[in-house]
Amino acid sequence: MADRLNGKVVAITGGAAGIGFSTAEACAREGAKLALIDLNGADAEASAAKLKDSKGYAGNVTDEAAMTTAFDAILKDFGQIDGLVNNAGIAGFAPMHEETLEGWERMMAVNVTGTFLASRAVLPGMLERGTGAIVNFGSVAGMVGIPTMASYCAAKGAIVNMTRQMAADYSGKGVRVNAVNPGTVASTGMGKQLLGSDMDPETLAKRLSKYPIGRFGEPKDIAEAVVFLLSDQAAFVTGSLFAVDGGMTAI
Amino acid sequence: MSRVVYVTGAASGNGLSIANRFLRSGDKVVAVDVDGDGLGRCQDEDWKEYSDQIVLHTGDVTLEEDVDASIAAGRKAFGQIDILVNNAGITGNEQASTVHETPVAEFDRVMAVNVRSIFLICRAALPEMIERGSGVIVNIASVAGMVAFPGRAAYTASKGAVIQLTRALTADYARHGIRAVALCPGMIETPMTKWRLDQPDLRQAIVDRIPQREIGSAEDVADAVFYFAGPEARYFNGAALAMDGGYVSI
Repeated sequence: MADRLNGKVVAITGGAAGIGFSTAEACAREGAKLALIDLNGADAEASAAKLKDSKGYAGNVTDEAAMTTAFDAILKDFGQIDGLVNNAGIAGFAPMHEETLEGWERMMAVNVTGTFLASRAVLPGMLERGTGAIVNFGSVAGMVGIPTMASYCAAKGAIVNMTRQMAADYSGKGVRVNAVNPGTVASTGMGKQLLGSDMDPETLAKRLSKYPIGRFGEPKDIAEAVVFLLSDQAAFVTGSLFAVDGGMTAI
Repeated sequence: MSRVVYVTGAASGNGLSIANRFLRSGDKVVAVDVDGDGLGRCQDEDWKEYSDQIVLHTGDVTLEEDVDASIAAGRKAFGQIDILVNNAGITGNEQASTVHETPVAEFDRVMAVNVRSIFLICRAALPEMIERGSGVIVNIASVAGMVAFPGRAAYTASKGAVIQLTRALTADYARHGIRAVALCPGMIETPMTKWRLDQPDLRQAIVDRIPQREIGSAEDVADAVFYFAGPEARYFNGAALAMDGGYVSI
């Protein structure tokens, strides 16, 4: 299969690296044109240059004006947006009583407000054309509590239910909205933060023991799930929470 | 006012604790167990002073005729049955492990004891509850109905079925004034779990997975059942509630 997204325009926030760029590569392989949005515009452009018919854009997902500017530019360059991947996100560690207000607000801003602002930017065009697919990034942390990740769990829980709510409003108008819920993906920047190099082997083994599949995720594991949800193969899939977690939440 | 409470698996573990909880509060109990000797021992020890509050019935809850007879015995003794506590359950023998290793007969046995029994009991008790326009059904499911227990496929499947059966009961009978609730205990210290909890290493590994860092007791289960059966829980209907020290929260 290499034409599941033929001719479609897919915008990815946080698209310059990690799971975002891996998703971009998978979408490009399936024939999509990519609009990669990243905090650092030069990174976004450099990553987009590796893909056919693709462009990079600077954009802080927490900034309303920046999102408007970025999505206006994407629409001007590509004419339409068929798919949005709300991938931009941050993680952080603190139990609730030790979390700072700044830490909490930043977590909510990037993960939740970012998903809101990017979705709000693409929805009018999708609704006008009566077609579109949005994939939000939930997490296993949106389904179960992860020790010492209070704000992150709250933010991901918000995205999970925002996904259901968006599906309620837009599925009847041709726009499907789903969430992928990744487990720990080891090799990305966030993965390295989650599994710090200073983590002792015992803690690491304990983390791994929560994964029935016996390994942590790879960016492409998540990317392929996103491609499916964006594609017409998922035409009847909306409001769903797609666990891509090696079985972590099954036990 | 005393109520009539039908409890299966009443001769040991959670069932015995549940029966005792209701007896102490002055309710009447129809105590059902497949282990007649066990019921006899409970009668001699736990239930000595409650002889006018309890009727014993030895029977297999997977058999329609035994179930019908037990419900009839309860009605004959106390006139009606107000509360069903469908507690009888098994995890299956050692061979009831992964799907490809579980003997068909053992799978069927787990499903029969854990699920078919509830169907048979409710089927026998519901017509009279509908007629009176009231009744409470407390099904003892498990956290294994919410997440999978590795190496316990039949048990996991059966408890998932109990949770959905509970919702089906609510869907069909709530309008008749009947409430159904699925209680989902985590790891509880009972004869059923003893063989695992008696191994120190295994016990520690289990405790380490529970945020509250302790194993639950049969009294915890009885207290929860007592609450859900009572009028304070009048708006609980169809819910599956974890009682697990936080096990399914992480």
